[in-house]
Amino acid sequence: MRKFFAFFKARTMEFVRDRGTLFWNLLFPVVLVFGFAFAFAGDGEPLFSVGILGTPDEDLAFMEIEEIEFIEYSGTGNESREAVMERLRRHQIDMLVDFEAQEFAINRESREGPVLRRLFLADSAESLAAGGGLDAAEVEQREPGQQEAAQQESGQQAPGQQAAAGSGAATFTEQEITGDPIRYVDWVVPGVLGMNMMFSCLFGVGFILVRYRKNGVLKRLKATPASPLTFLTAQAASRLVIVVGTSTFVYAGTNAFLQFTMLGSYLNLLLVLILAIACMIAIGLVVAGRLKS
Amino acid sequence: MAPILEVRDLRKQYKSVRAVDGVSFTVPEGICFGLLGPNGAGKTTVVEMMEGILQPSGGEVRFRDRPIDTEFKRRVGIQFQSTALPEYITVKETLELFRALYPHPRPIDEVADICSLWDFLDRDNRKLSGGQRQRLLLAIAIIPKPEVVFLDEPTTGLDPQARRNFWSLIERIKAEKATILLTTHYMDEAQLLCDQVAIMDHGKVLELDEPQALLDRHFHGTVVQIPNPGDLSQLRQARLPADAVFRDGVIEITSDRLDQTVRELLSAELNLDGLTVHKPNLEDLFIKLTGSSLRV
Repeated sequence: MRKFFAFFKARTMEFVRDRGTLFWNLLFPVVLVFGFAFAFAGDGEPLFSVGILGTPDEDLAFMEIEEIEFIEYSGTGNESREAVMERLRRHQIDMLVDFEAQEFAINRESREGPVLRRLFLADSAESLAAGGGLDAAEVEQREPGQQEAAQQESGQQAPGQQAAAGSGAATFTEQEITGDPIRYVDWVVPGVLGMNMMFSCLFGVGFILVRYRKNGVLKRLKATPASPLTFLTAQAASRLVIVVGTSTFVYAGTNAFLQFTMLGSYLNLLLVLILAIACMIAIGLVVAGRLKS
Repeated sequence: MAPILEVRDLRKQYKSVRAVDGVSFTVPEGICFGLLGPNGAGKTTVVEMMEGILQPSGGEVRFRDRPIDTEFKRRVGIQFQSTALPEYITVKETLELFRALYPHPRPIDEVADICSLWDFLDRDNRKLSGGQRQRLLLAIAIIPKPEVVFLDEPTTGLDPQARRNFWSLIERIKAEKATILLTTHYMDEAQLLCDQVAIMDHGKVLELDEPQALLDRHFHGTVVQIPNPGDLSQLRQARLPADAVFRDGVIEITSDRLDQTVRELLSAELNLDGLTVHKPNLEDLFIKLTGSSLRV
């Protein structure tokens, strides 16, 4: 173990004292995350995004509003109703209208949701009024708290759902969901962390071993009683600790300012990180073993 | 004295090149043994096979009458011809790293004393001068208190002062009764440090003995050299001493009676500008043995 810790210490100190490497591993990812966060900040798209499931009702005037981007989903696979609801939950779309199920859904925590709801209900109410249903103004003025009464009025009961209005012969049921938005930067951070981890493992192990071989360090160590296994495990362990440390620093440092959305367990995240680092180090070793220069 | 190292019919083949061709010798314990020869003679290959770094194509190396094994690495110290050191760590940290690799290493203070490292013990390896770097590499080689120290061209590239300083370090290690195996193409270095020398060329050992014994065997008297002696027609007419040799534009005469040789040269009416007279050395011997000058 004395030999292992000697190699571990030497390699780790080499990393810590190499300012160029330290910059690329610590500061560059942070700068990258802030750069992306800044570049993609702001109010986003000027249009509303409305997801559509089923065949849209072309008579609905709502469907002709130019400021709204309608995205049609197939309803299967990763465009299933559940998947599209998840997009709504993450504020990737502002509203979902399911023409097949005669339902629409908004995210209560989205700023765009209530506006779209009003637009949609007003349009639907007009159609309904024209067909002898509710008065358009009456529906438009209803606030979420009054929806229960509306449900009773229209005779529809759906636990957790609120009755709304119909379009022509169809009647839409409103569904409200909640969920914090996922910003662009929330997607960027895992990518930057992953990229940083890959570079660090491949270069920090593979490249360094090739360099050691080229400049004779490996030959010098071969002349000592230290075994190659001790040397390699120390290199890998040093890199593992460095990458876990730098990833934690980058995550915590950027999270302190940008407050990412974190889903799931930190313990699982750490486990996945360690396994991923081990895999990348293994690839680095294979590359170093096969390349001569 | 019983040999500490023995090389038996050592051979190394690189595809079509035979780098070492049946080399055999023994190294008695406690001496400084020199392997001499020009670049490409095969001396580094022989040394690396003796160190266990290179696998021989044939033959064997024995340490204390046993084939070399993992225990051998604990009992020898090695300074390679060119080695990079771990970067971004200091001299002291480098010594600590190598100390951790041996079971009974010398204390850092002792190594620093022997190799005069105190002035730059806290300096980054990357900022060492050539001489300091060689002293550090020598220090690393002696950390395990080795029974044999391999020094492969340790003074190549050093300035004359640094070379002399390094020789004094080697003398100190010799004084500790360690066996030293030194390769060099500096004949003055070999003559000063080595108790026995083997002269190699083209992968073979040409001669092996104590330096003075080799010189006594091959030379009698004094070497007289005359550069730029005149044109060839003048030389043909001149009555030169019988053993004069014309090589690479230089007349070389090995003389037992210097006064008579000088009189003969004066009567030959040659251009004697630049005439030198010296006692034969290992370089003269090498030239005599190989028929060519040293390929540095």
